[in-house]
Amino acid sequence: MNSNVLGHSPRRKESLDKVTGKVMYGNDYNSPRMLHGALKTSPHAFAKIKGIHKEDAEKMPGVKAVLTGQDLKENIGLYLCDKPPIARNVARHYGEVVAVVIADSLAKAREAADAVKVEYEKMDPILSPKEALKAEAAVIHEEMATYSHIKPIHPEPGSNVANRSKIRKGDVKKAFDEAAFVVETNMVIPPGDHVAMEPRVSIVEIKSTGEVHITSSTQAPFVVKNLMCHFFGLHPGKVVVTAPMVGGGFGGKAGIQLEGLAYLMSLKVGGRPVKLVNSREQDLLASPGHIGLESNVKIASDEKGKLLGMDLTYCFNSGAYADYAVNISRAAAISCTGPYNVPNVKCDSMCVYTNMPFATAYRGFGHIEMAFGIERALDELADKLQMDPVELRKLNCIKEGDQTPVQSVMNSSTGDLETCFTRVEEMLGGNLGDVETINEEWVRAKGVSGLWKAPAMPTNTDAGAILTFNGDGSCNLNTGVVEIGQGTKTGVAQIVADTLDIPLEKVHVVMDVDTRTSPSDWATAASRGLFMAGLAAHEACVDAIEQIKEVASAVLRVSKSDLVVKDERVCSVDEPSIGLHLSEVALGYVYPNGNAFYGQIIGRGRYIAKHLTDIDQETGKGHPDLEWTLGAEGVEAEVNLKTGQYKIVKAVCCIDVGKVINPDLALGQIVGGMAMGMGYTTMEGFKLNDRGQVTNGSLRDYKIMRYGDHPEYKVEFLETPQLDGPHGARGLGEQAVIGMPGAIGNALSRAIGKGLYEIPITSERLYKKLMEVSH
Amino acid sequence: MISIDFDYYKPENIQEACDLMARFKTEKTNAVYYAGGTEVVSFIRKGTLKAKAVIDLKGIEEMAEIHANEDHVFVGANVSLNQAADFKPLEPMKAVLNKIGDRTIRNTLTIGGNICGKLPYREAILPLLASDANVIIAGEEGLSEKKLSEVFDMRLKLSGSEFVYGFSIPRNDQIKMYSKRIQSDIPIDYPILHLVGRWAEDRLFIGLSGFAGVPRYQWIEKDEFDQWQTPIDKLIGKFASMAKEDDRAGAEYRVHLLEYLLEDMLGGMENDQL
Amino acid sequence: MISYKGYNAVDLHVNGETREVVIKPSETLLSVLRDKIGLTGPKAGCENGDCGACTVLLEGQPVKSCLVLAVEAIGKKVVTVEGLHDTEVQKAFVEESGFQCGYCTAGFIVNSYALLEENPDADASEKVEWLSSNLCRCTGYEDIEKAVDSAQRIKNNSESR
Repeated sequence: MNSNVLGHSPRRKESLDKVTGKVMYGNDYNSPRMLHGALKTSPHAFAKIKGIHKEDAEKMPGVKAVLTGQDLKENIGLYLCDKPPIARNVARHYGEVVAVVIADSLAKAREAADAVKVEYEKMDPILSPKEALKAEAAVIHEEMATYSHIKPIHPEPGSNVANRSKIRKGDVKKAFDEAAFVVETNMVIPPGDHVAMEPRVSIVEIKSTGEVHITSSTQAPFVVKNLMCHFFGLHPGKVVVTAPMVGGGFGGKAGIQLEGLAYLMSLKVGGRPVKLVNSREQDLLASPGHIGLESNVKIASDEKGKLLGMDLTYCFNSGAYADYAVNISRAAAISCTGPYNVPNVKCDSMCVYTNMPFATAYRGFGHIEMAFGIERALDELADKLQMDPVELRKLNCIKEGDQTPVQSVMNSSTGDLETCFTRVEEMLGGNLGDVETINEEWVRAKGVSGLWKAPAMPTNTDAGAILTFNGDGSCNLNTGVVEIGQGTKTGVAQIVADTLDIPLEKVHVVMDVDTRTSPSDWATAASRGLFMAGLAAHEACVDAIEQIKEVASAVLRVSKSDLVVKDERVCSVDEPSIGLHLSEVALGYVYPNGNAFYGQIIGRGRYIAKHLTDIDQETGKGHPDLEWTLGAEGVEAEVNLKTGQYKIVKAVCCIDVGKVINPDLALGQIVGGMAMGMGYTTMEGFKLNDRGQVTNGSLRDYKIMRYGDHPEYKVEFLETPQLDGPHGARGLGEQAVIGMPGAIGNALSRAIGKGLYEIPITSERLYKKLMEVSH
Repeated sequence: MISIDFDYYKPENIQEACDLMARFKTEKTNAVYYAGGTEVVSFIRKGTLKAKAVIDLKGIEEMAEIHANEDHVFVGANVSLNQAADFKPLEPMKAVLNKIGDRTIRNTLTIGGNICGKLPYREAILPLLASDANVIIAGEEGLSEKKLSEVFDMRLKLSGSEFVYGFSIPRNDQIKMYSKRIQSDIPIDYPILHLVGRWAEDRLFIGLSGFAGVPRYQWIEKDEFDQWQTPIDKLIGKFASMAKEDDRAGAEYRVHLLEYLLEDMLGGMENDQL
Repeated sequence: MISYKGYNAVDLHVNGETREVVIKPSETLLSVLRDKIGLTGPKAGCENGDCGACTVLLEGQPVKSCLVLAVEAIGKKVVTVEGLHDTEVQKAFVEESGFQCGYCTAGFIVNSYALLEENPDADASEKVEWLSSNLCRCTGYEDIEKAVDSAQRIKNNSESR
């Protein structure tokens, strides 16, 4: 054990490269050999493509080829195979790719893309799940019945429902019949974007051997590899995906994005390397963003506030394609009640197509949307009960032994949510129900929210780690986790340094992921990187230690069981002077006479999720939830009652992460998540006109928080160990976004004495609510 | 990355610049004057401006000058917003200029560019109008100085190959200008209302950006103002119908905010006995 | 009168070196730095002047290089993040974890560096005025704030000695 590593905050492994501008992201790789791709996108939200005139573009200098949907027969889809790489016959959302140009420079490609002329026949777009679910609504995917899909999702052909997940636990009708109090709320959240600072990019080359080499800004190189094989009939050994440093993911780079299209473009030009990079505008609209939700939440409680039942309808707004959205609606069903013990639950969670930009995974994966409805409704229930909002939540916190909505049992790793609420209340200074007058215009109010999340991932989700060694006894750590800013590479290196008991500087990290040389790793998503790769790395260390001891045992003539590895040495447990430096065994031991023995040490570690099952189609019963992270958040807001302007002055979070491996990195994830959740709640989301055209499709108009807009942050960690996690740690990357909409919505609703149900809560929306005549 | 080619010219004096523009107009070549470039570059990239020639006025060195004597301040059109804001004799305008764009942008965004641009905000014109500034226009005949208020009617009225050379502002370090700006959510954004106000000796200036489709302003004579029972209602009456409805805010909300800021401004002015 | 049409071989002064490049008038300073000089530190985060990831110094002033034409930089001194070595700002960004994914970092570092050069005593509101020109999506800005404050402290301490 290296006591100086775990629980400490050494600097990130890639720090110096990042502050000197030397770190390379996908778009930083250039070569004169490369051809460049450009996208032509649809100006209409829903239109038949009547004809495409590409002759002018094809004749332009430097242009190698122009591809349209007609040229490509394959569909691509993560879970439901619904998306042509280029719109075929119909454009289903504003900004959808309708043609691509390949040219010898990006400028020429983009100029030619402008010259491609497309004839459309406009149709009336469907711009909300509510409209899409109407019986008379146009069907956005008429061919749905022909789409292949994975088993756990249940599309409903002939409708706009791409997936429906059901939870049926206990007897909801009885619960509501017997309830002393019932609240019902309807919430709306629009789709929006991740706004990772790095726009997506893919570079694809097809070698003469048939090998397909892909360099991509991806969180999921192995997903890309597997899907490329699946959709294009490639051999898995011949697809090599490299993920260099990624400039922020937040879920937006977790599926398959530009890779398929870039492959088809390379194929068109004889395998030459083609780079396809999004402009910011295309990254917002042609590539997927985050999901929207319309929810109906009904909660029943007894006269003391004990929750009896929840009746929930979640209509997720997936936009034009399903991508991850069909699993997001499923994940929201699995955790549909929020972190509360609810004996009777009915939930219908649907993934609904609309003609809006389509959605993929986003930090929180359905939980941020779900939690807004639950937490706002809980505050309304507290009002009805005339009960303190924190007390109500504490009374109903989910605990060890309680059943989740899918009837899995919370085990002894369950975090201490009640204490999280206590700490949040204290950090906010108590008196949660009060509205404090600051002056004649401004008031101050607070709001809280609970949060929970379990990863929603395949039942066989895996990770691996390989440790090789250098002549000085240092080691090289190779995992399949992509560095997207979360710092997992450094966290896993800390686990290795601790387990091998060597200085962290002697753990060298392979930064880029290469699917041919890195061990398999499902994806850098679902907050499971440190958890799974950490466990794999720990196992790799144990494996290496075994080998080190085997060499030392022979050389030192000490039995393996009497050997320990510590301080960069392997030595006899009772007589440390009998030992070898790791440098003497790392590449095989060499006797003074030149004889060599054993060879290099190679540590191997693996992880695969255990005992996971899918959920039952009719009842939701199952065990899809590997580990739950629980926590509570709160905000203090100041509101101008004359104008509706407001500011979040304080944001707090207490979260039970099992074990803090690196406090700075952990804090960074939590604070970053809170900031993202604040932006999401207060200013983000796509704005559309009535023709379905997005009117804030650039960073001039799609606002995210800036320096100086942030509040004071306070974060505390609890450490109820995750018994099967690395050193007790569990996931924490996404969780902090989840509680922000609820906490902010509750604080602002309390401040104005009226309920807010729609995100983003702009000043104008607040003002209009203030002006509404109460019923 | 700009995908459309254009030619770049950097004339060194007014005559060269005007001759060039006149020539392009005759040839029907789409040419634009260029200063800071923040707007032109972004419009060309997006394809909303299709220029075949860019005439960079930064070669005319006098247009980058800023200086003051006892009576007047001269600000060349190529002076950046940060330079102008940091120039002591322009202290009264500082609060307005510092709210435009962001600090980095203001290093390149020029005062001439802000006022002559295509964007509907053009906030820098408000303090100039409020200061009774003259605009110096360069044309084929050389320089001519006019009252800015005579040339500005929703936008600057320039003809032929004319361009703005600079501004001459009556020097008055004592001016207190009111400037409050409201955005839909965060400060680095276009305004949904930027109210600029100033009491001159016998009249009141009210200027608005972000409220209507273009900057709007009025001078109110003190005599008239003093007769009003409910000055705020009267003032709102003068502007309310111009309020625009867009993604950032509705018209009704804009009018409400105008009322709010007018109350704030007139209340504050009374306190300051302006 | 200077004019540029089509391709032009010109000298650009970048990070203390003179680099001969062949450029067109339509090329932005950002694309020339990245694609022709190989300085990929400045990033094309939006190419619209909104995100600040492309910030470089032009004659010592921070500018968004996506909105500057390369021809405008002829005869002027350009400094990118690659031209800053071992500065207090860079060290502080490492020590205070002033970044996560790192994509905005070059812009923040160049802008913070310029701020502390021009105004070593910048107060909190001046820092907001300058640094709200840049977007970061990872950190929530707290760690960037700490890094800039720390760089300022260290810089001022070492200079007063």
